[in-house]
Amino acid sequence: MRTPGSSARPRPLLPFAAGNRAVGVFVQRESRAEAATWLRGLLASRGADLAKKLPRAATQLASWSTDRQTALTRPVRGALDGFEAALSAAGLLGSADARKVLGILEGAQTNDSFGDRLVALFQTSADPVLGLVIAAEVPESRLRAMLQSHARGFVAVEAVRRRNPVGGVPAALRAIHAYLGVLSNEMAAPLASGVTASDAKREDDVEKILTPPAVAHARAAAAAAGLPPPAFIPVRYYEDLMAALHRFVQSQFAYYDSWNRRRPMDTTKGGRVEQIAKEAKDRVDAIFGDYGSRSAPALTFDLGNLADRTRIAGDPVDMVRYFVNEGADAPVTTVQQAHNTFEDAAAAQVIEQRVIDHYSGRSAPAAVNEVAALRNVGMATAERQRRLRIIDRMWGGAAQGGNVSIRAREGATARETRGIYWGLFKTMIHEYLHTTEDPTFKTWYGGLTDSHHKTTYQEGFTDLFTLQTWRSLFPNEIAANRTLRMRIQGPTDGDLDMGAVGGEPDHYPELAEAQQLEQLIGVANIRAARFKGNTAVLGGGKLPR
Amino acid sequence: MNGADTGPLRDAIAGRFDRWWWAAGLSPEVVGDALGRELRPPGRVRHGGRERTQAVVEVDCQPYPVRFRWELDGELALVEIAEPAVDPSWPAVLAGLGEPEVVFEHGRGPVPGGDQRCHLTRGLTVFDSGGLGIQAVWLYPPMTADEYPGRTGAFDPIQRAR
Repeated sequence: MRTPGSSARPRPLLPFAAGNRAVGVFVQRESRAEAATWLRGLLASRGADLAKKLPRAATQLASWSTDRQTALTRPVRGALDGFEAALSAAGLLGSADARKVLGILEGAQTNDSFGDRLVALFQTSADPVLGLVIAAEVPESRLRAMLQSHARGFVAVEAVRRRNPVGGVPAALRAIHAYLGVLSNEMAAPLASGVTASDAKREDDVEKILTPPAVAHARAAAAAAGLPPPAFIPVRYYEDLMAALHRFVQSQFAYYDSWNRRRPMDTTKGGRVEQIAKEAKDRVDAIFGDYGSRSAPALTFDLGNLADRTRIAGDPVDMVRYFVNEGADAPVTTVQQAHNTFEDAAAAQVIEQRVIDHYSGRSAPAAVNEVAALRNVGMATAERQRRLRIIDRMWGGAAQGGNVSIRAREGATARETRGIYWGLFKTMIHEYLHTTEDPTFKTWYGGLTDSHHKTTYQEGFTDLFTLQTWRSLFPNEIAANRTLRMRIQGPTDGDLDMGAVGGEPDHYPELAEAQQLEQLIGVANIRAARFKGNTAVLGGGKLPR
Repeated sequence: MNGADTGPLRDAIAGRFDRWWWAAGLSPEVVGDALGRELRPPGRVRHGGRERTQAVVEVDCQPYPVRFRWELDGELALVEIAEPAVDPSWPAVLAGLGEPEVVFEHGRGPVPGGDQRCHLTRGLTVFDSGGLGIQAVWLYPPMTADEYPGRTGAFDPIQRAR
């Protein structure tokens, strides 16, 4: 093995080709050349030197990875192979530092090449445990996407488990060994594995999860004080909700109106928006395709299941309905909590429907107090409707009847548009997932009375799978895969700009409940309900109601 | 082209909704001929639990594109007209339609402000949103009230990204 400084001209271990800028920031405040030297030194380390360097390397790499959110685009295969062999020979593969270093270095590949690498390691690595060591450092969603998408993924998972009998697996690797067992079963029988019948305990636990924390707190506080349990307070609910709704709508308007003044995005067939839609489907299907999402058609303007919603009329009623129900946010939710609406959702909704109708101008109030409350908002019906229509048209995205509509507007600058493309990609993942819902599941949650319950199943589950899809590619796949970036940003823009990529997709608060439900009943049951309409597994004996 | 009578469809698209009656044979090709353009839906879409084809068509007499959905055997399944223009007036057209057979009160579905006034024998729903006017008209084959939600998706919610 050549080392830096040897007389023979070394094969470049770290090719600084275009796109490999990550190495330049590999060690912060160090020059590109120094970083390269440092990494070469690390990869060439052997024996005692290796054991000594490993903790520092783990710290440096972890810090770099976290702070820069970028990754090596072309890890040096030969050097890394040698490094891994040295770790194995030194008995260091099981150490936490080694796992961290290998996780970062190996993880800096595209999903495709990393998938190839894992499949090879699982089947043929000299040290059978090496595949587990690296797999343990891969986020679960990414690991699932890579292995499920690989032609030999299933065989490889079986192989690594066979090569590492459970009794001999080090304690630190038992969790990944067990997870690969689950994955193996699911890949063998995607529609059946892990799907389990509900029972009374599950129903009770689901019931607890679906009770909002504020409600549980209010109930507990009343009980502790020896007071009767909280009850819905209808008095002045109309007035309070109307005022809060108006404040909220007005606080939102300027933002959406600014979108209304932006240039339209190119929505031609086969253009940027369709490319982003295709990428969203591919990424969702990599994780959920085998469980039912793949049969949903791609979203295209030609098929008519993709549209630019900035060209619709806008619906004041639906916009208000959304703000009062599933999209409620402070100050609307503050009013709803103060009036204990959760305690009698049906009664609350009678009043809410009147607020929706009156604020949107669908109908005019007749009762004296309601007339006064609407007058007090201080804005004429026509102006309220105009603003609501703009907000609706400029909403980021929506799905209905198997069709998706998105806000297709550009930014003021090229870089801002780049960020908008990434936002659109996140939105498209979410909306495409909506089109994959089984109609039986949709009818089931549509029958729930409380909007919080409904939103947990409709939006919380969708956000749960949106997040899992995102985590299968953020940050490493995005950092490593220039082709992916060009599909999102445009064919002439493969730059890596994590600021434009942004963080995790926005989500509904009900994502928290969805995650708790996933912990309780397992993702297999959620997939069975959502993609295949098996709602009985949701612990829904007490629902819908 | 088969012998399907496209007159009621052309009239309805032009705002004479009281002249609508569904007919067998209103395939994409036949509808395309009636609208003066080539319609060849490029592939299948999902609508509720059904696989269908669809086309979104801009027509001169309506302000927003009209969505046509067909069953896989080529029969016209649903026409969705948003913010419909009417001829000669809503009072006249509604009088021509007569009393609906079923009215589903507003509050759900793709037009949550609209009472769904269903003329199920004729195959037509008027989404009447009171002060906001008629927000949509749907055309479809004759069906029962029980069949109506499943075959049209009339109560499918709008799902918004956060």
